[in-house]
Amino acid sequence: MECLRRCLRRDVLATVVMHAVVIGSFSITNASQPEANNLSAIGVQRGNSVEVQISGARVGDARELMFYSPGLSASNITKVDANNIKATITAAPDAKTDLHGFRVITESGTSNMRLFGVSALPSVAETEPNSEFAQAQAIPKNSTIEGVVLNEDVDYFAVELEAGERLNVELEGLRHSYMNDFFDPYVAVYDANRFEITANDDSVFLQQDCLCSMVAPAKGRYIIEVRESSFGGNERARYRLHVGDFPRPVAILPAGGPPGQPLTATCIDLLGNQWTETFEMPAESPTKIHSVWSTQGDKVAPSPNRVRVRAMPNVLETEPNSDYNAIPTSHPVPVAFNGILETESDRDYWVFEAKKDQQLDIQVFARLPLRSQVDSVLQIFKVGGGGLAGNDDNGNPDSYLSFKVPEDGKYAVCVSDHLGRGGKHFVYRVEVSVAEAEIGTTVNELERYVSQTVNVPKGARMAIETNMVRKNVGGEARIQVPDLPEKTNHSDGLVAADQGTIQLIFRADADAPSTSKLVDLKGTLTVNPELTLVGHLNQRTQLIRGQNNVDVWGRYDDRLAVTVVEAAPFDIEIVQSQVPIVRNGSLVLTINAKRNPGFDKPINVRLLTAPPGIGYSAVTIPGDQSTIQMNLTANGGAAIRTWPILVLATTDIGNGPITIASEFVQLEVADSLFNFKFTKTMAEQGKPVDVLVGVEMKRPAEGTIEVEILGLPPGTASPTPKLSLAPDAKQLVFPVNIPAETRAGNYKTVVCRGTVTSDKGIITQVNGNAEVQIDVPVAPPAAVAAAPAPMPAPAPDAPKEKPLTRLEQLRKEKGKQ
Amino acid sequence: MSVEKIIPKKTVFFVALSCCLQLVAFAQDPQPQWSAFTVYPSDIQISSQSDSQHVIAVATRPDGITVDVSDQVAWRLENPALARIENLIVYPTADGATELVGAWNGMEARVKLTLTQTATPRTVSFERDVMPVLTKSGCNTGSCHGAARGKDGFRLSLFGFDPLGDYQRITREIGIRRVNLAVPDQSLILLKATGAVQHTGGKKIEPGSKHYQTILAWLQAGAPADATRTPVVTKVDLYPRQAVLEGESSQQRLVAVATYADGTQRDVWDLASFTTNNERTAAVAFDGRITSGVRGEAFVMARFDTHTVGTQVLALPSGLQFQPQPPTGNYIDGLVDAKLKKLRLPASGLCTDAEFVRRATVDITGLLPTEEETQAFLANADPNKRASLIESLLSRKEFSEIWAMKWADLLMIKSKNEVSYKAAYLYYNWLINQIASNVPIDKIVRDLLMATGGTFQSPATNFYQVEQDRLKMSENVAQVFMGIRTQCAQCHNHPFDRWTMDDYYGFAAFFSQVGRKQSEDYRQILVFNTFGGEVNHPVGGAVVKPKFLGGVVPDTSGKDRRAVLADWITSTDNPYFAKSIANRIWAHFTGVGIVDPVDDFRASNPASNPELLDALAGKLVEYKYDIKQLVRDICNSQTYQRSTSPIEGNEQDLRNYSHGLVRRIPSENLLDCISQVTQTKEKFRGLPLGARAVQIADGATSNYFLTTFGRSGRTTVCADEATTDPSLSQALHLINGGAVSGKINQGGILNQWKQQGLTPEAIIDRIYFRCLSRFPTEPEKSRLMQLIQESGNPDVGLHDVFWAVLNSREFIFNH
Repeated sequence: MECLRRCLRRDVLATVVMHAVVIGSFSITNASQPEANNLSAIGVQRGNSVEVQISGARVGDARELMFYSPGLSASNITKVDANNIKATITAAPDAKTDLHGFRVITESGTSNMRLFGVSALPSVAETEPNSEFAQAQAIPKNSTIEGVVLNEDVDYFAVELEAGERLNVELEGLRHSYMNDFFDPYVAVYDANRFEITANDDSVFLQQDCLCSMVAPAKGRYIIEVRESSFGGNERARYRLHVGDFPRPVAILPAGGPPGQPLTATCIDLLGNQWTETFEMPAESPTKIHSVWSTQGDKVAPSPNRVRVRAMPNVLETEPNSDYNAIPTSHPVPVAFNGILETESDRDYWVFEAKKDQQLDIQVFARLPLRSQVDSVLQIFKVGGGGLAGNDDNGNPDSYLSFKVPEDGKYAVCVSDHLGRGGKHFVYRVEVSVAEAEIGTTVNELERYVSQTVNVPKGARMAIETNMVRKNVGGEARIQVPDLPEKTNHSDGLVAADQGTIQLIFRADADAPSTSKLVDLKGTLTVNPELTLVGHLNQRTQLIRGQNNVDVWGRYDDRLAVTVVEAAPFDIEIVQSQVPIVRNGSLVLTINAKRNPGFDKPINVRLLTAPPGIGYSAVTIPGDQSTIQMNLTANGGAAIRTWPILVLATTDIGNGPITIASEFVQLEVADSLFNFKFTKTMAEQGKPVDVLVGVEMKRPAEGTIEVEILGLPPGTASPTPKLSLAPDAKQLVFPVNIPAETRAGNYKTVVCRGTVTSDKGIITQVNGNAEVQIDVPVAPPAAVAAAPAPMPAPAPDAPKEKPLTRLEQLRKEKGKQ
Repeated sequence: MSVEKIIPKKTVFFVALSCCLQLVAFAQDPQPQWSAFTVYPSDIQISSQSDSQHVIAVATRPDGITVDVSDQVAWRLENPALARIENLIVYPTADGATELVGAWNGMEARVKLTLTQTATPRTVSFERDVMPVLTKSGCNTGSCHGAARGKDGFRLSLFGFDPLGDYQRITREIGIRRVNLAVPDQSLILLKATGAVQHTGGKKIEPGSKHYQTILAWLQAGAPADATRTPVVTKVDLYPRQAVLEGESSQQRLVAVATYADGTQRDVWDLASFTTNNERTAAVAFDGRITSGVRGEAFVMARFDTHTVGTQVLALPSGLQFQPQPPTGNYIDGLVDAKLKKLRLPASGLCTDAEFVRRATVDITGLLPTEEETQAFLANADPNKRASLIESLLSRKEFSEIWAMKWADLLMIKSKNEVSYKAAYLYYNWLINQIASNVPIDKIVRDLLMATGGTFQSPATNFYQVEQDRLKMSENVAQVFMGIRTQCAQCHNHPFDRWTMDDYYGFAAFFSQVGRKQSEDYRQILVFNTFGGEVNHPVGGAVVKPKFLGGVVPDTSGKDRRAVLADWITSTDNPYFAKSIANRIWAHFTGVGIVDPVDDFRASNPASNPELLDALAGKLVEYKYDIKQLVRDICNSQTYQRSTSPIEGNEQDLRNYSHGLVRRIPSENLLDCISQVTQTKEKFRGLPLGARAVQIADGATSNYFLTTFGRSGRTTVCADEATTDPSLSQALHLINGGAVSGKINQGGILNQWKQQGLTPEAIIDRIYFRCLSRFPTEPEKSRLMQLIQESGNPDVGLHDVFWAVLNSREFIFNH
């Protein structure tokens, strides 16, 4: 029940980002998908296997663990019960030491993403009691401890070191947390006399995870303390602690290089030690980010360093560079400046040459993706002149400027730390380039904060919203999904030049095998064939949420999980409307479900995307029916266009809901048909009144044209509420009876509904609001009342006058005066 | 014969009776010996024809009693051509310098008199003359037209903080209804003030009075606006600075003189508002005439413009026989004794060793002495054993924990929306590490004020995260570090202190360049100096430059304003910082601050013993803000060690340390003490089982006991947020709650003693000794034994005894 409530809440939130106002009465969310909440083991040494129990919800029918990176595989997947499975995870000997994302694939869906660590060091299990300094658990150097921090728990480990021996302690903790379990670890190293040698809470390099580096001052026993930074913890606060003399650079200089060329770089660790290594750079990198692992002999860093891959020359820092007018060398654009803010208040200047009106992208890379300590501040100066522009943060601690060059000449980039800090590992990289055309693709989340996957039922469809991201380029584009699972395909992903978001339908044949794949959403431009740009998917997966669902920790992936799941017991289709929906109008959409024999559960139906200005309410097809009508409404600003629309239909198949998409139908949104003109009507209690409505057709329409008055004041009624509209009519008169007991007041509720009825359907438009003021009758003068009124002679019928609007009446009265 | 009989009670009779009374006085045997005869003010400057000056004369007896003899003095001027004196008022006649001479009882006092521009009447000024009349008459108080929305359609700025606005409202608002320049005495402002027409406030100004004439003169002159701003009042002097009145109904006149920035002086005797902080001891009339009452001490204050100055008034019984005790002890005792001597108060004797060991241990460590510690102390024959005990207690870490807790209360360390638990935890740990490492307070304050960086990496930055409003931040800094409450001055000049809105916004400007930004961890905020941003004055909107409270406008260009402020606050020249810290420390050990409340230093709340406060502050500076050394001085003083039992004559004294004060043990310490004697453990968030309540990092962590017994909610910087006020729920919780009865069962100490074979008598001894640091008296013991026998079950009886002792006032109070 709680889950259902949560789903409802999430759905309401999700609709906020939709184009139209949707009044959701149910949800189609991934919360009903399998959930992997807890892992009994969170990592393994490469070349080894480990049995992992995965606990959560609806994972009992798991058939596969889908890993996002090579080197890991799962076997012996067995069901413990509906919500628990066991699997053996094997890391190949060449698997990378890193956190590897995976999802649990079941017969009916795809779970949330979890991470699994691969280390190079043998694993040692934490053994209680080790919560006292004196009870520290002895561990061999060069091992990975797998432990858990319970509430207010402190774990101590003892390691023997020789004098001068290097010890690195790297912890994976927060990065294994899931959703609201925020395990923020703390690590300290003490000598045997309890003197703290080093400690770390948030390393920056590993985000809130910890990293300590030290050199043993003397031979002896050293105690490593692990706890939650403010003595929290729980049974899910699992960690892996890599302890050893492995290389652990926190900075690499230069922090990037051109693709396909080896990168010879200086590695710098926390203590400031430096060494040189050469890393292979990929020939192609859509994300422009590459992971490299520092290796010394047989020892490898427990996690990668990330560097930039970009075809531009590297320039390394040469001191002095603290006066931009005195720097002799200038560099042509594009160029990548790589430096270190070594001392406090250090300010590094770099000089480049640029031409007038060049639009430059000047971007600092420090925190992302390098995970450097630098919290950059970027400034641009004209050599021989003054400051021109500056930026501190650009959505993250790094800085960015889009800079239009005012004149030919030399310019200086200045990088400093926001708090004036510095250190031997305060590395940064500034890329200066002419703004380039870039494209890419992203996927919208159906359930907010949950990264989208695609589960295509056999013989049916599933649809998602995808976005075409264009930077410094425009035009029509197409999104394609190559390499889909066998016997599946997708709808044409044509994205009009003025659109960013489209709906993409994935279809699976009835005999498609139960497979799953990670696929790219490839974007290309259909016009400008000379531009051979290709965009790739960039999908954010939020792994930890903070207060108010703030994104604390997550990752970006370049592939989308597509899974062929078991068939749905029904199919769904929308009946193509033959008439358009007009602005300020409404349209009834008929939706038919084809139920498999015996399937009699309700089906919830909603639009995947409502076109701009179109509102609707989700509907439910009762179990004993196969058709439902969905009312669409268009506001006065609805975008006039023919839009493809589709619905998502969800039902419960026992092991959670299953969702299928309909095929597209076209929804034509047209301009309004009727031009209504309302004036205020003055009425008195007990006297009938005519409500005058100015109305004309904006364009000819086929069919019967009628106008109906609605929302009359309570107690009043019109004997002819619905009137036909002649083609040349300018005004309609609705007589309204006002009983004497009608409450006096100003009523602003009166609206008119115009309809055009033909054999194709009904076009409906509703406009308002006419105003009807009902007054208490003015009492007759007393003198007149006193005199006995003579019986009035029956008056001849007055000639029928043209009905007057209130304004006309007033004008007439004024004329009499 | 006492002076009470010499000085007539009603001035109106004074002149008529003076000769006769002098005869009576001369007829006394022995004749009072007069040690001093003084005329006030000591220097008179009259700088216009319109000015005059009141004078008074005061005679002082060798025992310090002062007598107002103004009416008995024979006054004369050395050069009568320059001025004249009538009814104690000096009027100018011609320019020049001369001396006013007062002769009385064979003594003579001379006052320098300088007269300038005596031929020129001063034009009446709205700000200089009219505004003070409105203020003196109470027109611009908060309950009258000074209310935020005015009163009856007419608004004045509260206590006159906005003279330009007031001028506008009087002369321009609602047309010109309030002034009638054609018939000035028919101006509504006068008709209302004199009650000639209906006025909710009644008659405030007597028609024809000097105040009336001032306003009328201004109206007759056309109600002009001041061509230039009136020079500000730089100081106000109130004379005499001290009065020691003998017997009830003795009287003393006051003279108030204002000095303006242009150097001129002005008699503001009839424009200053007089108040007293102790009506029963010294009542003060509208015209500044003091009448003594019951024995005690009072401060009578005069407020003029933005200045409040006070004079100390002591009222002593007639014929009091007082034998001052010979000075003993350290410098503290000398200064306390001096004050006691002045008040003729006897001091109680020293407390017993048993009382001392309990008192000192609770005060210094927040725990009770163990039975062993008490035993060892009592058995120790060393005459310096008290000093030794203090020394050993000061070296315990519990000492720093108490002060960390107190500072945590003041710094409002508490998790909330803007401050995560982790931030609060790290902030508290930073604080406790500072105090445990004996980092001087001035260094801690500097680090707090200048904190830069992330709230996790540099926990002191939480100082700027706990309170993000720069106005409140500046108020908090003034209150926490200097004991000054500036809050009033945010909206109007402080009515009882010197602080103006200019001071307030000038001080707030030090915090106008504090920048904050979100770090990668959403819970962490980066605090830094932006080097940009100003504070605007709400009246007029002008940028206000940073200005020290009561100090200068420093040069802050290109500097971190917070650093400039930190330098000033922690400077040894700062008149407030050391005193404020010393006062807080003193109040912890004596139960009442020399200035009380400890964070309310203001002219109208003067120190009960300024010399002592100065000495303590001086020592703190001398000790380089090492509070441990000051605590050592305090605890070693006889003042601290005095018995809490008053003796005859000092029963009523609560402010002068003539005897010790009985103090409720603060909530955290009390819970720790109960846990200690019952051998039980408490569990608090983030702390291991058995941790003590004083160690709680986060103000949001509490339990029913702590909340009930007045633990600080850490929502304001007020020292009195942590309260020891009694309440019914406290009593009921001790009687019925789990804190006492449950803990006795939980700890099982009674069973342990039983298993050790102790008899009920011995167990009663142990309970008393453990909880109260003394053995029961024989009557207590015999009654308790009788109760145990009557209970039928000794276990139940002993449980009841333990319960009763923990419920006793002797246990929950430090005495």
